[in-house]
Amino acid sequence: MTTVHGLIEAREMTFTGYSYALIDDMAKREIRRALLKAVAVPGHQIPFGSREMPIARGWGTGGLQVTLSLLGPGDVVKVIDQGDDAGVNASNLRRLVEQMTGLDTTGATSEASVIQSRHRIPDERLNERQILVLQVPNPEPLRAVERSVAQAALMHAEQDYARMWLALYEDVVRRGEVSRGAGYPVMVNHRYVMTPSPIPRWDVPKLHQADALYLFGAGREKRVYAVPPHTDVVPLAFEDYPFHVEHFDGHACASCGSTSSYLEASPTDDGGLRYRCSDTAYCERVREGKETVQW
Amino acid sequence: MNKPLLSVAGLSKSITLHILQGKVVTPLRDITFDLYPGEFLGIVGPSGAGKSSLLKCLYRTYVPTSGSMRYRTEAGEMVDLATAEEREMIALRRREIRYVSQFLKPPPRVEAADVVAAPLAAAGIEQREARARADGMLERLGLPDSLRSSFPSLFSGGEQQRVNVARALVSPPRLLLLDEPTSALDSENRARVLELLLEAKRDGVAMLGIFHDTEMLEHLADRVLVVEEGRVAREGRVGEVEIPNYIEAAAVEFA
Amino acid sequence: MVTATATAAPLLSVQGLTTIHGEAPCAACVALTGPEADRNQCPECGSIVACAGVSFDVWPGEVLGIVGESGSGKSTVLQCLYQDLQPAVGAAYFGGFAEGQRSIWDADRRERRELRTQSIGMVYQNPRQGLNLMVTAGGNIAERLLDANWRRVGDIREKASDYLQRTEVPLPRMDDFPAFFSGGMQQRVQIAKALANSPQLVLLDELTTGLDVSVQAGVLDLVRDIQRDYGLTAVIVSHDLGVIRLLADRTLVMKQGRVVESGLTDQILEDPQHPYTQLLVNCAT
Repeated sequence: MTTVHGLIEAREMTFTGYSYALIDDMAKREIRRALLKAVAVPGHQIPFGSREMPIARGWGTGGLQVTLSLLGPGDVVKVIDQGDDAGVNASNLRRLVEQMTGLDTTGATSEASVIQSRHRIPDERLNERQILVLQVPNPEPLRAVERSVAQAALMHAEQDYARMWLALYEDVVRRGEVSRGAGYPVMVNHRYVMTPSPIPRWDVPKLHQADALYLFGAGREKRVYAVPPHTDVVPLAFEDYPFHVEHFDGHACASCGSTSSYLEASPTDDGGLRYRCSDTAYCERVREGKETVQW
Repeated sequence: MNKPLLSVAGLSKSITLHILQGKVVTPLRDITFDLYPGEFLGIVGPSGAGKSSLLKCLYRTYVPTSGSMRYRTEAGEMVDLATAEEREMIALRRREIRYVSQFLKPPPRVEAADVVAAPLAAAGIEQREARARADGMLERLGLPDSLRSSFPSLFSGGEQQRVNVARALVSPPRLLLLDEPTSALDSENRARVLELLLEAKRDGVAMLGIFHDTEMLEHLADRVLVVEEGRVAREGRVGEVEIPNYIEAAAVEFA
Repeated sequence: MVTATATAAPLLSVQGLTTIHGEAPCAACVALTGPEADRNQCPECGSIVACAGVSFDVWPGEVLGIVGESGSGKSTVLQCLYQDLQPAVGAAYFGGFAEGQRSIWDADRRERRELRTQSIGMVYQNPRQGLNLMVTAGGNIAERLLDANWRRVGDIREKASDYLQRTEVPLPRMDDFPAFFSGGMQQRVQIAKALANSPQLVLLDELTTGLDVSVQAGVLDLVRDIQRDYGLTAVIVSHDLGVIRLLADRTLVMKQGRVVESGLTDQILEDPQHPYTQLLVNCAT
């Protein structure tokens, strides 16, 4: 009979019988090939054979497969969920990575070689030795204007983005601006329209001409895509309604006092709002008085 | 002036009425004549003789069955109106050949002055100027100011005729085909049309005209062509050629 | 003979356009159909010969009418020209494409899209086909401009309001959905959309069919005004001889997928040669 004690013991066991980093070598090879293609054609979605992972689809299986296929001895892994290293999902994924690879993990952005993230790009500048893996729920930026996957693929092939632009026009007409917050569509390398995954607008400029490599994995939709270092990534915007990032009305982080990071507002007991850094690692570093490399 | 503007030779027209078991009618048989610039050729004959059919052939509303209608264009080229390509006919109708008929329906819901200004607009003349010239032309024809900006489809027959004449003469054509353009006009308005036509004639416009009114012919026609049963029965100068009074003749027949 | 009074080259030259609908058309399809056989369905294989051997030219500044009853193939001709249908046989050389050297039916997908959004405008009988009813009236026009890489909302809206004013759609309705417009107003928006980007050729398919008589008049007047002011080059399909009389310089008559007669519009109406045209003209008046 399985007892709680038994489960704990099982968890402490060495995971024999599994490949390094969980994914078997042939599958890793397939994923890496897809990633190489993705890097070669920036912003273009590449299909891959998304595997069953020990987490449910929609919980980061795409990002996880990309991360696990990349890891090798010497890597240092950081996992974050909406900027928070301590989130339940981030913690579980981190533990899985640790157990399947034996690699060190870290909370410090600058120490990591591979960072898996959901909905945020860290507020500390990434460098050329780093790879950021983003979890993607829906990789198709045209989905809102074209339901057929085959048709959307043709539209990408022909660079037929008039309807995408039309959706932005209609948004401006109805709301006075392009109201899209998370997942703001971008033009990658002057060729493909791409969704940067549901990151806030704040993070979108970090994709442009970056030093780091960005990889995007959508497990449920079985697609990967990439923005290689030093690639032009331009948000879709009208000349007279330029793209702008979120602003926080001059508020500073209630914890670290930063005014140059992405803040999240939460209600206070007295009915007001308190702003805090969304990137907990960045916030901690500022509080500890350590130097942070700005974007 | 010694070269004809138009040489019609052996022109015939038959119509096969498929909806009447293939019955064939022949409104025109072997018509031949020349027309010179500035010349007015009157066409007379009893009803059903083929007068209107002749004008319609020249305008290519009817497709001739045989014969030729050689026309010298402004550019000096010879075109057979019987076989000219449709787009060439369209170009000639826009620039050189105009047609006024008692039966011409004005386009619906277009102001009289705009109907008249249309040939000018088509020739690239600026809208305000075209409209001003159209207004001037309608004024000369005695069409009241109030009517110029209303729809000719609502006009009386006489008013419609004056709009048609104004449209035909607002920019002088080289060949003018007139099918009873004054039939519904009183003597005062007939005189106005006459004055305009005489002016056009002096300007060198060649004209073919069907008039029941012999007085008009006496003032205008250099020669007349008497058409009977689709053929040219006689031709010659006004006064020299015998023109029966077809209207009275018809009245006698009924009596 | 053609003299210098006429333009040198046609804008559109259609040659031998043939469209057959069916799983496996047979060799006898064209021979066994047409006005003489008085059918458009092949008795051998059951394929429908929508049109066959249709050839005509359209010259710049000219409006060509195509008249015929339902099923005569006239709308098929327009659908082929607008790339909604790929013909089985035939070529169409268009001044706005590959300098008239390649048939528009040999265009690749991207070229086809450019033809549809830049060079040719289409007004369908049913506005539902030509408009996205859940995109604002202005947005429908904007789509063609956006496709031509217009990227200033201000400019786009200025241009769209030009077209809407031109087609007499009240400007306050520019940001409303055409789904809630009357049929006549939808048709006006569709015309405005078709004219956006100033295409070299406009195709009009039964544009007044299904509209109230009073609304029909307004739409026809609109097209006539545009014809006058812009020197429109157009192919207009209608079963209504009144529409053809009003708008077309030249007219083709179609029956059972074939052109049975063509000529100047007044000639077709007053001196029809083909038995079918005579019947058509006599039924209408």
